[in-house]
Amino acid sequence: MRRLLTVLAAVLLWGGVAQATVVLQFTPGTKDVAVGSTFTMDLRADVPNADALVGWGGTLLYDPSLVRLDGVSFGLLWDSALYLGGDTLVTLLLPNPTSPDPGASGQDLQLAQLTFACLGVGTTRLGMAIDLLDPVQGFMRFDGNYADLEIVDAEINQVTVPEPGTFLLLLTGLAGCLGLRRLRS
Amino acid sequence: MKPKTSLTGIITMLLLGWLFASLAAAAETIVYSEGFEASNGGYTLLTSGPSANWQWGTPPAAPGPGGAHGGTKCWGTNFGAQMPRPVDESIVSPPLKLPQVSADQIIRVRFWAFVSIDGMYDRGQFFVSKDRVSWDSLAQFYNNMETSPYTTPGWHKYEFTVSNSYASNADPNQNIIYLRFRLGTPYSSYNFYCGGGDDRSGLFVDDLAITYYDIEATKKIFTLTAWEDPSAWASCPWIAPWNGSRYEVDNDIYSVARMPENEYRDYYRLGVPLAARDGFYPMELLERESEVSYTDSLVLWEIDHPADVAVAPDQAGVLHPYRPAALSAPLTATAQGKEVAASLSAADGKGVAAYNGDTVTVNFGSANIASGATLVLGVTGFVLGDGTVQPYSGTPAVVVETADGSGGWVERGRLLPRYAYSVAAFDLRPYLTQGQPVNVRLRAISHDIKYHLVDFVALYAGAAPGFRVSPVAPGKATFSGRDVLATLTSDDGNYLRLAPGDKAALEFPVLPLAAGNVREFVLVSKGYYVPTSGSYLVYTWDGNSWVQRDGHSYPGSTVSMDFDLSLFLPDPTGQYRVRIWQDFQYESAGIDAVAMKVGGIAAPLASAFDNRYNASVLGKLLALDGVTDNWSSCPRNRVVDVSFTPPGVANVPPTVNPVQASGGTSPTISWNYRDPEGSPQARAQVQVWTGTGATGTILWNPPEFTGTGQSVAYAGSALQPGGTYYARVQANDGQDWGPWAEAAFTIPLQICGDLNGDGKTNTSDYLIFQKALGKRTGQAGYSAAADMDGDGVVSLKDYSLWYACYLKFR
Repeated sequence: MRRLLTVLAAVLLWGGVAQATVVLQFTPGTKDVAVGSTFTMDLRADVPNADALVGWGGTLLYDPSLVRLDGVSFGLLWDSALYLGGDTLVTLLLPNPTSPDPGASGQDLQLAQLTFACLGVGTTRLGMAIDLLDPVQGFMRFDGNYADLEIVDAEINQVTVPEPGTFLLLLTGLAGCLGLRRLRS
Repeated sequence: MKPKTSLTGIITMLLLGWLFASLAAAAETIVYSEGFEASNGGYTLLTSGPSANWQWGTPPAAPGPGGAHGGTKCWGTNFGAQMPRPVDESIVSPPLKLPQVSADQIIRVRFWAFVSIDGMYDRGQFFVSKDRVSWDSLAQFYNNMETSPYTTPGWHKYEFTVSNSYASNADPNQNIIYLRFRLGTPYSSYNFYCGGGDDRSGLFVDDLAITYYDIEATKKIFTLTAWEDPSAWASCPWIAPWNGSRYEVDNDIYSVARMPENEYRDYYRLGVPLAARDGFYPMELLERESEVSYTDSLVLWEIDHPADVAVAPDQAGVLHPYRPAALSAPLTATAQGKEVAASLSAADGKGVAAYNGDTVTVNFGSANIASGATLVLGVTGFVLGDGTVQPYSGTPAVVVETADGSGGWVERGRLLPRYAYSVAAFDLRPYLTQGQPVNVRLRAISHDIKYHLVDFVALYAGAAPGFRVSPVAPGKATFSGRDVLATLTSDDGNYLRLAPGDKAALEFPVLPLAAGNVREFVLVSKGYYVPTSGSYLVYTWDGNSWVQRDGHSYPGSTVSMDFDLSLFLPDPTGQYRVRIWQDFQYESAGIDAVAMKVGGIAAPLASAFDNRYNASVLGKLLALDGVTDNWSSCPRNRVVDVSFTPPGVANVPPTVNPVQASGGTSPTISWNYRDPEGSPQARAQVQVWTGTGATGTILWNPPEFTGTGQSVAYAGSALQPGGTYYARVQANDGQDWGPWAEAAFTIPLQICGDLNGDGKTNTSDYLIFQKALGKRTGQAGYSAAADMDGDGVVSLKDYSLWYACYLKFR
């Protein structure tokens, strides 16, 4: 499910000037996972050149009764050392002595990879909230302004997996059915 | 954004500082420094005559120094041109508040000066004062202040001891000192008695400091016993009567009252006309010479008499009238075996030169002295001559003598000479016998190579004509805008003090003049003067050159003065060497003896070499025996080098080369201590200045460090990116201080995003930002440098600013 989230504070800071929009997306958009399993989700972004980022931060949104965030690794452009655990992600663009680019931009830019554990059956959305009153949240552009964001949530479906014995009986039954059909013919 | 000290830096400072066991007061504490770079220092003009055109700024090319001593700016006269003449103007510091000086400290003041004035009458002068009214002259400068008048003038450092009374109070508000630099050029034309003088740009001053020196436990006291003719032109204040159109300089008064013990009441018959103005006789009292004068009282005698009469005083103030038309010239006169009567018959400037001890015997024949015998004598005093230098042996005079019954000569009076021509009269009738030849002997008392010109001698043998004298006290007297009438109207020990260039305005009431009479005037004054013009400058060797350490003016009679050279001896070679420069070139001076005590124990004089004579003068300087090393006249190379053998085992002071300073705006200063005897470092002192050689402004003057540590973190005033500074270090090996060593260091230019002040914006700065991100003011880890927008919190927005800097300066 897609949801458009416009961060009000970012808009207010926008000053009415037309700007490009950074599209933030958790991928895959829908994820089916079994209870008890571990899985990963990517946080990626389409960042126009005009919105080249030098740092970003925000708080992950998900149902903690269904999934648990076990780890975060940032994309190669970003400083992993700033992540102190928890649901709030903060990072900076690592200084690159050879890069001519003012900040990070591009399509399908990897921001982070999130590792979750599936705790129970159900469905949860994975999204991000940004509090611009927090000095380390927001998507900071090279020019010192916050980027306007379009955040695309992901949906995670947790399902129950059959017990191994039951699964074997089903297979046996299925095999028996196939054998009888061959004998009749 | 100014660089800010990081917490890490502060901790580092504390840790490094802890390397030293303890702190003590600095051996040299800087209490005032002024390099005139950021401002003119608050100095203001003090005008005593025509303007010298003092300016603050950068002097252009010659004439003149072509720049400041340190930095780019200084004070100086008439930038870019030769100094105007005549002038008399000073610059004076604002009131400087001094911290209380302790009993084991001495106050020193130092500065750099460029001197380029005439070789004889001009004077640069340095004073100090507690009240901006009474000034103590510490040094005088003339010509180029070089040992040859042909040497191109340059900047030189001067340093002098100041009385501890300037800072004896616990309250600094009570410890005020003013510094004053004066340029006085009394005449409209210049005079170079000994050559040189193409520049004549005036006086320039830069890089002042007032310091407190600790008195070392083991004192090294140098004693110089010497004399110098303070000034050929030191002779008390001059009187300048109003002649109807201007004040016309006449003559000096109480002219031989050199020093307080010689104060007396003087009687001078004015030699130039005195005209009335608005019911008063105006006069000016001028201090033109190289001295300070103290006038206790002034009275004007208005003397009325017929036109064919004259009146002249003797030295005691007794007035002797005579008729000029009836004066008799000598029949014969003998001086140095020659007949000189013709030279004495008229006041025409053609007389007899009478040096110290010379006599002139005058014979008036068998004059009829039944009605009286008044000797009238006209003399011009203190004329520079030549010959053998004579030290000051007594009050200068032309002594009037007559023979006693046994044929010996007996003093009957004396004319006290003045620089300009003056007349005195003496009643000799009581000492002469009617019918006997009238013989008078005139005997000169002088000094240096100066003589008194006995110009006119005559005898008045008639009856005394009548006259009337009316003493008049001044009706008005002002000095420097103050009413000083009460000071000058009585002999009460309250003196009007005049320094060179000062002048007081006087007005005496005009009394009615009887019909048919004319009026003469005798000015009666009481006071004394203290010559200040001579200087013995004392130097020690700093490993590279002779450095002036102290100095003082000496009187004309031989005296001893002590100079504490504890901080400078032994010199870096371990020797006790001292250079003495008597910096005059035409007035006489001489050294009788030199001595050194180390810790109270005499250090024998090992050598003494006179650079003028290129000869040893050891024998002359060994003892106070009147056998002196003398100089007179040019050239200006009265330089004597002496050395002493210290008691005990000689110690060579330690060195600290090289000194290094690095670390951006929070540098660490380190040095390499070495001692020839292997003694460990006992103490060290560190200073950081804006100029080389302890000039400009002091930025860090920490207490003295004790212990063996050889580095310390800078903790002084903020260092500005792009600025060059000078760290100085001096160490003590437990016995002696070694020479200062210095290192210049430049703070890298401030670069956007350079959070650690190393002149670069790189990942090191990123790491600083990384740790500070999200921190607010007052919170641990907050970095003001990382707070690029200064909003009190290190945010992502700050990072965008930093990153832009990074891209620009990485």
